[in-house]
Amino acid sequence: MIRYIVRRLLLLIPVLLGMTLIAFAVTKAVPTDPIIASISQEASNHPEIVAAYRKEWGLDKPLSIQYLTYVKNLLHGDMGVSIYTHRPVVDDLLDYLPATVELATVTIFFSVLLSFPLGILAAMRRGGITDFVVRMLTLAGVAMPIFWLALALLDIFYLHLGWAPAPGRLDYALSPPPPVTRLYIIDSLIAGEWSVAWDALCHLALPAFVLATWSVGLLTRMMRASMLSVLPQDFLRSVRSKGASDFYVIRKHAAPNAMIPVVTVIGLAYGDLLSGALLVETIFGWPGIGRYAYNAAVHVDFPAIIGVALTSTRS
Amino acid sequence: MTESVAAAPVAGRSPLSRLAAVARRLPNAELLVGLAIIVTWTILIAAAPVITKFNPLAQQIALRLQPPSAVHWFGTDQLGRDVFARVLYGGRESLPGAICVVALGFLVGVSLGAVAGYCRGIVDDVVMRLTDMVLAFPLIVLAMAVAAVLGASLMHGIIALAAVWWPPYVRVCRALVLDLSNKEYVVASRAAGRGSASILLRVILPNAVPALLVMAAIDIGRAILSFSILGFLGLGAQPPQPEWGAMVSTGAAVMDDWWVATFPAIPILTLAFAFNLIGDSIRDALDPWVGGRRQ
Amino acid sequence: MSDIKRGGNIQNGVSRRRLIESGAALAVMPSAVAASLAVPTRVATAAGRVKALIVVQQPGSLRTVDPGRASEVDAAAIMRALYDALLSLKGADPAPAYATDWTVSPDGLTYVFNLHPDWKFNDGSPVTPEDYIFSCHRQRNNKADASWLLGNVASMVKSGPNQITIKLKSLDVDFLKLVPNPGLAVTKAATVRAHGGTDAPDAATKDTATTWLDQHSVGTGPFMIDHWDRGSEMVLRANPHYWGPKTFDTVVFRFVQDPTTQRDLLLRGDAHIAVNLTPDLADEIQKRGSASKAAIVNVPALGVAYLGFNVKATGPISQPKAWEAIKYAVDYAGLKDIYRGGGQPTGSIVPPQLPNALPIAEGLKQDIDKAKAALAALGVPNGFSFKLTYGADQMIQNVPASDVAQKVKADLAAVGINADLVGIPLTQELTDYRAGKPEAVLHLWAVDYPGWTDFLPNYAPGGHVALPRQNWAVDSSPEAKQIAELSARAMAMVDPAQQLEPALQAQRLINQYGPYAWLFETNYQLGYRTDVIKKLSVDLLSFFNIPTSEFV
Repeated sequence: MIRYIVRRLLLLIPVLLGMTLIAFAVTKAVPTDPIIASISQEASNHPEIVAAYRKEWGLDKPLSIQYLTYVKNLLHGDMGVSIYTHRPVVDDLLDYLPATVELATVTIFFSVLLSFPLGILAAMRRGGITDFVVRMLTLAGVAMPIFWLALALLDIFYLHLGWAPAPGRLDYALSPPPPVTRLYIIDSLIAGEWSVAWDALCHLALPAFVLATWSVGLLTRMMRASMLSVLPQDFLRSVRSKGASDFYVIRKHAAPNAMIPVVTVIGLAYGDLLSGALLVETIFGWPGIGRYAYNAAVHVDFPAIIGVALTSTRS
Repeated sequence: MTESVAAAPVAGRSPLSRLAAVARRLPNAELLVGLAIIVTWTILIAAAPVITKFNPLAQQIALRLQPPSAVHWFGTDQLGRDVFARVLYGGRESLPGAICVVALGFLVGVSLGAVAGYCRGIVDDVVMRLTDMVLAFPLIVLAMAVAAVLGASLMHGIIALAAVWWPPYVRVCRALVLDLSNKEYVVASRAAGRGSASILLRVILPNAVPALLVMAAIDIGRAILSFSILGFLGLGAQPPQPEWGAMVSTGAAVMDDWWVATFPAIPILTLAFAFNLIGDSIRDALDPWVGGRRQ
Repeated sequence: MSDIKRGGNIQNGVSRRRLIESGAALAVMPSAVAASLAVPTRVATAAGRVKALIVVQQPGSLRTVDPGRASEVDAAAIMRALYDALLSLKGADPAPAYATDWTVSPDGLTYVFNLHPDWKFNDGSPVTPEDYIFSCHRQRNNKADASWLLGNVASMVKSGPNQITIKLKSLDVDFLKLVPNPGLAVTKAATVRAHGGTDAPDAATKDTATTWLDQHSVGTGPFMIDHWDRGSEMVLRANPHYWGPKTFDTVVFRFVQDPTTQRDLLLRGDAHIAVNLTPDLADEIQKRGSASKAAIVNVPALGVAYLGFNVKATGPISQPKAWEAIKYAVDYAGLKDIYRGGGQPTGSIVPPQLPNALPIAEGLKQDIDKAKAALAALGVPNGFSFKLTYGADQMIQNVPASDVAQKVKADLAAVGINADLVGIPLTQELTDYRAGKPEAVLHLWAVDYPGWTDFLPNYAPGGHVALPRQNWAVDSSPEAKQIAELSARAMAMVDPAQQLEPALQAQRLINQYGPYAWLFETNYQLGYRTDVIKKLSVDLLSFFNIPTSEFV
């Protein structure tokens, strides 16, 4: 066990480095010039301004030097400065990552809460009406184009009904709680600001619901499929023959086995959500990492690109 | 012994008899509905020139954003083009493209995952680390690089998407294979002297594939929508060619004129639905322990 | 550590939360009421007026509000609320700000500005000419995006207790149009220096004040920064020492990227001004009428959308007759249906609102017969093919570039010209175009300053756009030489009356012989709440101006 952990940790460094190398190579393969792409219109007409920026980011040096400098800084804990925002990448990540983490966590939490019982129920009542309803709902969930749904729900629940709060993380009149984790719900609970915590949760509701349609659908179906594989196996029959009730059988034997592939999928879904949901963030004005990553990619901003990729990998 | 054999439902038979057993279990309502939807759309898409007289590229700016009517069944879009025609012709890009992406991702991912889960050790480490690296990789940058080097087209969009599509399959397949490798019937097969490759292909994978098929079926809809982000950046199918994902995202800007974004969303929704139904029924067919009774 | 970033407010002994709450029209609801999830619209209190004005805009390219560095359009409204420069804008003309009046020498090289003696910064300290000079030198030596503003300034000195004299290196007839730029805003030298700022020649590497200036402002504008939650909102509070009329206690800039969501916020009263509405959304608001309490005002954005052709391309597209065919083939009237209120016609490269603009009546017009005749003269009566590059994700103001490109393609196809659309990410299009690579582009020239010299000389042969991007050199043709001479002559006239004729003639010839097809000028369409704002004062550079607007 110890050997396993040590081996995983040792492998982490080459993996991260390998990833930075691939990311660097692919980024440089794009012919877009990050300086020209970020600079203002008139400034691009002035060579001395362009040259000053190039020098600032070491873009006038050969590619190998650029890469090695970046890696050297990285190993010292310095993720570099974003070519687009002109701020340290670490600061940018601290600004945008927490919003995504909070949204992703709430989404996954409620997805798991909902999908496990639904999946088990559907498997148990296979072929029946419950199963059918659950399956149709989950199918709709995974097949639904997410940003279409986001716009439709925003239209109905915010514009017309006024049930959902205005898009954003908090009501404009409330200021964020003192930053500890920068997750508003946790921080405001720590600070005892109950109304802020509630407001943050209300603002999370609609975007999390939209994102959850997909993960609830996926997880329920995986749970059901997995349960169906586990249910008929012989050891379950032997448990049943001992006269244990259905529920006991499920809880003690079937569910834990069924969960194995599902847990992997939960991890994947969570990781997927953590990389940010660009379109949902755009529509709900959510200041998350999705939009930051998109801007970084489009502006070929390699410190930011690699910064985002590194934080995704670790999670 | 009989129990272990029985519990390994598709092991130890000839491929032909196995196929026959599967085929016998197949015809059920779900499969038929799923196939019907897919076949219907395929016919509609293929026969588009016969079904609608409108050219999906023909603009009539003066008639832009008209609601559905007797003339324009699905209304017109921001450039006055007939949405019904664009939905039909759009399938020619979106549907094959999405299937290719998922198929490629599935093949690569399942192969790598199976090998990693079965061989373990160094091979497993290498594959998993490689997967980690690709999993974190931003699709957009890769697509920009592919488009810049190869040119932007649907085919190159497929390549770019497929290149980042496979990691989830590796992870899930590996987990499944790891778990299945411990089953008694696998151990028994090995003890009986069967070769590794044979065990992997004939014993383990067929039991792992059902869950993976569920994943793949779910993915079709996502793949179509992923084309829309590529299209937005000009990295996939080029306008004015219609493409479902791109139509939904450009239509989102005029949601008040709901028909522009909603009608292209319908084939995405129904086809994803249909593929899921098919995935479900194949999964059920491959596993004879339906409802707890051997069929 | 993060508290230090926001610490200024705690030092003042006023927590942000109390500040905003006291300023909010409606008190923050207790949790039980909040639980009802109902969102009351934030409109007038019993006293009749909201205390906090809420503006919703795209975060877009907003990266900093340090006046020594900020340059992009998305920062403009915020900068206007925080800072003043020597001059401001009234329409397209310079108007007094920190300077009360000014004189220009007959040769146009020396400018003397008399300044307000009694202006104060938002911390109560007096504004001095030294502060202005520091701010400008810091801008120039930072070598950041807007440092070109002072590229032509030879010297800037304090020539009296409240007077500044600026000498230019060479004649710039539009210098006064550069001065209102927020990059030349006056900030307090002592404070900026105290937080790492410097105006020394090595400022580019040594200046570190930006981080502080992104969370605090010491300027003369009607508001000051309370705090900035990047990506979410920027909150400003009133400047107690402001020289102009008091309006709101608080201004909140909310950042929402999606125009439809901005519209939703406006309709529900959760925003009072929406900046980035698309033409379709604006039309829809207008259709709703006065009952919706939302109205639209169009502001010329002084941007010009056009097709540009590469003189050095291979194939027919490099020939003037091909350009002529394209200019006659485009359906300009039909384009109106795409840009609607988000644009307006333009006569030539200089937008109609600026001096020396070619009248719209003399602009390009569709004429299919003439297009075909041009093709015949070129020797390709059945048309030809070329690649049209454009930003696939670009919004020309709030009109999708891909819509415009597809419309143009259809128009050209009607005379047999096949435009192969090459949509690429905007950042890549900028890179390629600025390097002179594409055969033809659909491009938007956005305004840097509201002067005609930001347009005509750049597009005349040999200009900053014409030469590197489209290879249109002075010696490309006899007509090119003529146009270049006319443009140079107009630039050399200090007296505006003498600029007119050469400028107009240059534009006529560009229309006829130049590698450009001007499509339309862009507009902003601002949405605002009629139950909060009686009259929104618009500004060509910064969208709107709060102190000069009238409120309910």
